[in-house]
Amino acid sequence: MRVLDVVFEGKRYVFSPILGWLFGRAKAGSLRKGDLSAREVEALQQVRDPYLLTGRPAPQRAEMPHWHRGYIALLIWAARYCFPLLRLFLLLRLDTYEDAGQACVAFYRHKPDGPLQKRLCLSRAVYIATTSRRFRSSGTLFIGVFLPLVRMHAWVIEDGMHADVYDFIWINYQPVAIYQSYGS
Amino acid sequence: MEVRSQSYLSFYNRKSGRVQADIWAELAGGLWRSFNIDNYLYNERLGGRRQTEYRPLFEGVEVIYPGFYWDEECDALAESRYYPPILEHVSRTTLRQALEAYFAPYRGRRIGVHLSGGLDSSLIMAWLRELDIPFVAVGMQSSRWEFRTERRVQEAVGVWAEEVVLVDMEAGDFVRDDLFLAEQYPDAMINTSQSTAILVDEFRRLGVEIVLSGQGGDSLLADAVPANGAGEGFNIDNEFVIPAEIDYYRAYGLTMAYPYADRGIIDQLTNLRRGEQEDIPKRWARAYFRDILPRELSNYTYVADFMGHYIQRLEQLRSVAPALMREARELLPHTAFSEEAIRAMCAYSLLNLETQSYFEFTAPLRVAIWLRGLRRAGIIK
Repeated sequence: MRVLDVVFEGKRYVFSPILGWLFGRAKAGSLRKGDLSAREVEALQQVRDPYLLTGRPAPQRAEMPHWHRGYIALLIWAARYCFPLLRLFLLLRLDTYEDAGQACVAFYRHKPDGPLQKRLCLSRAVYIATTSRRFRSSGTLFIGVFLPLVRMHAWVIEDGMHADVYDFIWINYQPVAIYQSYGS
Repeated sequence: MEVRSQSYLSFYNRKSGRVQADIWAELAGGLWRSFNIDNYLYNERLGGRRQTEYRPLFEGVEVIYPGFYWDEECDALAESRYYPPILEHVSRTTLRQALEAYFAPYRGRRIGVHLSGGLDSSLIMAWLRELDIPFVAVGMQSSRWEFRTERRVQEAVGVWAEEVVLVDMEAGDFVRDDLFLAEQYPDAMINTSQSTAILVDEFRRLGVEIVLSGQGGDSLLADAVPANGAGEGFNIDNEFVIPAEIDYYRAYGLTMAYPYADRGIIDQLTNLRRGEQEDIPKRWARAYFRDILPRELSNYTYVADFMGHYIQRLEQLRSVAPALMREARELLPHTAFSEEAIRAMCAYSLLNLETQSYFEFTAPLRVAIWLRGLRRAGIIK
């Protein structure tokens, strides 16, 4: 997971990839640009300029394996109480769905409660990242913050398309961490 | 006297049994003492579309809000709603005819449009361009992350204007003197007073006479429209117009106009959208007007959240809040202005959207601002 510095009103905000918390520090810093890979740079550019993204066609419905219900329950718990465990889950490559759009729809169908879905963005993003076959080669998971508010959001962009066609708020969140999978 | 006109209001006087244009004389006579803060807080919680459920603010006087009238038979506030007729033949051609009819009186005048970067005002600019009506554009700009998409749209549609002025959204003081103009009841635009003032200054500097607003687009382009029948209709003066804004602009010699409040345009757009479900991202409009909109608006549904900007401005108001509240308590003793309430307000975290409501912060302040305004104008001695 790559951590990105964000400076807002002279204060530097840094995301802890271990604890999953956002810290604010008085001293402004700068991103070490040499640390980013070409793929990471491209992903960040798509967030900086959202008009580079294209619309996602309606995904084909796919059945969710029954055991994924327990997996999702674990993800939701870990997202709330144990971020290090969530980091471990990110290493999984379940390759269940064709792409991120299909994985996203499957998650929504399992947890259809509208208001509750707002709080499940991180577990949903991890579910998408670990179950989409295409995430490994062309997906990025973002964790972002809406400053000065204490609000965070997570989302996935894959193949130049946002995974969730109903996510209208991601645009307001500035990335503080990104994750891409490596290897085949 | 430093007062806000509020010419859009009227009042039903229960004692005389008549509707009157204002209550300045009654306020000077002490009506403000009967102001019911609990009822005001209750009404604020209900929001801006449920005025018929509002509780009285004054003893013996009922406020008649824009878009409403006093029904003497029912002895209650009633709503004026407009129900667009079902039109059999609507098309881009008939819409254009309605647009031409609406803009005809403005031809030859210096027109300004608020360059917000949103779809509603951008569509107005696209129509003006299509009708070959020149205009200037004034907008707010911000370096904030969430406004990067608005900046792109401003660049894309700004080229249509004869002149574009972009003003820093973060500039200027939020707490301005004109926030404390006397009003007949607490209606201060504390959310937008600073940005409104800046826009007015720029429009005047450009010699603008008519300012066009995209207000109403959210209802007209997003509400569900039944395939048959009139549906719920619209309260035009409540949903499509901001009367306080009209007053403000008029005080500076500008005419504020709302194309989406025009009945001809309402009829056309409603009938073009017959059978459409609720469409908050306004996908129908983006697709229908694809040929005249930039791709940033036709192909994408990005909308920035203004809450971060708004909160920064409210923080400025917090600095004057204790003094305001204590002044208010001297005039109208109420728990909303107690020391405990002041401490809670100072401790209030505007940054935590999960557990707080901004209403709790702003509503008592609006009452306190109102009382200070009355005192400044000499209405409260």
